[in-house]
Amino acid sequence: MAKYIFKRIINAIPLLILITMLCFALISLAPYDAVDAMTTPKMSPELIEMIRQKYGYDQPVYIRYFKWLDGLIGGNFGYSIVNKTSIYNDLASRIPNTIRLVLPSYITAYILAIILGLIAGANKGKAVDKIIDSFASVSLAVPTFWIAMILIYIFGYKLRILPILGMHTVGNSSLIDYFRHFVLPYVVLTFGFLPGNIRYVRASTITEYSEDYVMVQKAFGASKAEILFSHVCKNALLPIITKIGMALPALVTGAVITESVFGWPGVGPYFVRAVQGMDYPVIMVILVLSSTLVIVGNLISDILYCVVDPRIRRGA
Amino acid sequence: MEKLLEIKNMSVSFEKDKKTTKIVRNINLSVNRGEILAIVGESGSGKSVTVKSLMSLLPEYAHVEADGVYFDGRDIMEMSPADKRKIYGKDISMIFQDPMTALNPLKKIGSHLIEVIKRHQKISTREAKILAVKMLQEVGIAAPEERMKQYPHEFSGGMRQRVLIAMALCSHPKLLIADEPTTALDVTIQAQILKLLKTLHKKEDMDIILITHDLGVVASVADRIAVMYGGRIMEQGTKEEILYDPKHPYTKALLKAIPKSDTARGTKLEAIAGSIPSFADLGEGCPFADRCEHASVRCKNANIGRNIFSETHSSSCVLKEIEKIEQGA
Amino acid sequence: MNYKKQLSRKKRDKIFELLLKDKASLISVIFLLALILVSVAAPFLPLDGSKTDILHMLESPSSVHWFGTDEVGRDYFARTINGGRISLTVGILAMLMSTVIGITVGMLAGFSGGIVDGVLMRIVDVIQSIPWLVLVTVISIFFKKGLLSIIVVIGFFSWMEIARLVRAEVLSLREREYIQYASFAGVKSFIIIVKHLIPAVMPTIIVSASSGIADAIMTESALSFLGIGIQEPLSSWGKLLQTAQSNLQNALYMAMIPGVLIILTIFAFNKIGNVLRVYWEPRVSEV
Repeated sequence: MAKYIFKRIINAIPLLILITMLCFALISLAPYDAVDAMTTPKMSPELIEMIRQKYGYDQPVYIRYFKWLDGLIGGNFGYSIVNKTSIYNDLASRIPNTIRLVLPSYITAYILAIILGLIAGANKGKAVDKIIDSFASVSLAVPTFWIAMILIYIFGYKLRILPILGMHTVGNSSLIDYFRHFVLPYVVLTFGFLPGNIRYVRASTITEYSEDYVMVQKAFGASKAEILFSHVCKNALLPIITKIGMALPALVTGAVITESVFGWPGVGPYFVRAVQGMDYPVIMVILVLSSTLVIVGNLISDILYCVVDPRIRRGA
Repeated sequence: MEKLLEIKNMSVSFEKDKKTTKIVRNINLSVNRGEILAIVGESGSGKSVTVKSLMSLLPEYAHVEADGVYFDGRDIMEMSPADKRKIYGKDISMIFQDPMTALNPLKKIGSHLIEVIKRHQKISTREAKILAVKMLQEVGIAAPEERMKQYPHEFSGGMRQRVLIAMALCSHPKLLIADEPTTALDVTIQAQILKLLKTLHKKEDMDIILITHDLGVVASVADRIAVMYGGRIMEQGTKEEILYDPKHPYTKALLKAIPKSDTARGTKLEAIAGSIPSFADLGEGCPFADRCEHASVRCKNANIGRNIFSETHSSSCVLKEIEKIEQGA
Repeated sequence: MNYKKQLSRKKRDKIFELLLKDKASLISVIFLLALILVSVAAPFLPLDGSKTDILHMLESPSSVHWFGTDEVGRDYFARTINGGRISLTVGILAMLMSTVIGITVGMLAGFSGGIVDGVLMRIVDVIQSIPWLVLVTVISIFFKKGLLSIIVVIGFFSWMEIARLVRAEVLSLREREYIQYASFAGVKSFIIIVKHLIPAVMPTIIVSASSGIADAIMTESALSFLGIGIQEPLSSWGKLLQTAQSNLQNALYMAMIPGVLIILTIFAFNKIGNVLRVYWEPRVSEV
């Protein structure tokens, strides 16, 4: 197993390097660069050249790449062109906000999806399955921002019981105030994560039920509950472990739309603003960061899988 | 002779998309105490469906009707699901065709056994463990203590079938149903498993229903044989009666189609003309009629009588005296 | 030939039976047909979604304006129909684009194997490692804002899954005897691909294409909603929702109408995709 994990880590490294290269290439190819963004047409060519030199844009691409990479590894993410702030500081204050929103939503959606998916899968074709499956297929078609708007309308405008913007009311930092702000985006995000996961658990459960060993267990007098809890449950949920690692990147970019709708001060609005303002350094960092998290997440999933599944652990 | 299992006039039909298809028609079958009964038939003859209906393993769209299925004096058809579960895996056990998929890949061999033991016997986990090791030993698995801790993928096909047999034997069942237990195994392993079944039959005083399409398997272990085709029992009798004195044209055709050690070099084996009909195409008459060389209009009739040749030997065919006809021809 | 024809007719009947048997898929088919019909006919209908009317701003649905009017008094029914045209166009064209790229890459990788396969699949790995919304958003910077670029951006970065599926299928097909025989008999690779491989992977492609349209429509609406998709004067359902957000308090219908239409459209495409999947892989229906 150690050998497999080692091999897996070794495999992930070139992928990471390729990602940084791709990101850097994207930025170098962009129709404007950071210098264009900093200068105005009124500036003299000498001044522009000075700025160019100051930020190292006069050097060849590969040197710039290595400098940039070196900066990334050292935690020096550069500065936003638009508001000149340190990207590292910006992200350090925003990522925790995103995690505070995404993590509870993801966990809730996960637990609900496992329960509903198992119920549906175990009762395949019956009324309860049809209800759960229809709920999942309909919600899969619902844009999260639309649900957000409808909830804002109901709870914010009509009933006027919940705030619709931000994380705190100005001047009020009580926990209750936080939760009142938290509730709507949390519900929307949970709803967004839910249908895909329900279908996944359901399909996985149904596949498990069609396995021979379930029939064998019936022939040995196992009750429905014994089959579900002692056999199907564990086997059906095993592939879902894969999804835990995949949730890692969601902690940073999993709520871009929802955060934007609710003005939640996380990575989402920051990223959208950067894209709208062509704030390249910011976009770059988020691109690399989120891709890295995808790769690391996949790595974690594979390792978890390998720990849990005896067929891989003991080398089938 | 005392009967352990008696199936009286059982039919099974599948209902799908509002179409009803009869799979098994009016079967009468029994297992006497102390015997191995073989049900022989090609794939699609309904033999597996017959035994799965005994074990309540058919899908929900299957309907089973019978005048009674008596096991050890009790009618299984009248039992509640909970009561049935109490005898499945305890008094009646079943082993299956494909040992590779019959075990839960994420469960250790030991917990498979312990689970079944504790389900039917009120004993502690420690005692169950001791019993499990003993059972593994009995079915010929070396180093059972270590094997208990292993997962199914660490076992070969033959070894897994042994594990399943051990699981089936834990509670000393009165009846073991073996559904093509050797089909998925290598030839050398097949012989070992059959030998094991035969030994256990004697030692454990356990009756066996052996389902197979392989007449070679039948010849080596069975006491009595029932030949199935198109969802009906065409002929049944003792091993000697069926193999050496077959009465039904289908049985005869089947026997002619297998090579024997004394088949002279150059003799052609006779294949049965035509192919197996699908259940949806079968009417009330004899299912073999379309492929039978003796078929006549009468074969399509609804009622095909049962011909009794001896206390043990019977067939269902309109021709009582085929041999005479054959000799005359 | 005759037999083949019969077979294909039988298959066609079966697919209709599957589509019409279930109420939800029947409604999906009818809804999509109506939607496509209206979208195609829209330019010929007396619909003017550009005429502003300051006297009748944010009016609720009435007999004059079936879907009401928007914040500058434009007829919301006409805007919705035109928005639907754009959404549907983006969905279909982006799907076509991603499907063509996906098939090409998948075929190439699966059929050539070796280094070509390794390189192509690595590229797929890399692109798939970037969270999709982030990737599409970043790429959209490179293009001038407009209908064509949104199609290209979505289409150009959603082919990876199809490529993977096609490659996997081609890899297994290559081992089949009839393909091996064809290449042994000296049939040119190109002919093998066109005559044998493409027809064989068609079911996979059609199924993923159906849900591909749904995904593309969803992405377009999200991008437009965030203000980085379709730009004025064009509108799509997502764009309409963006505008609706600022008038939410007074004009809920502006959010309800395009929202419900998006849901219905995406649901319908997904549903049909599922029916097709069941049709080609009957085992799925058993499950």
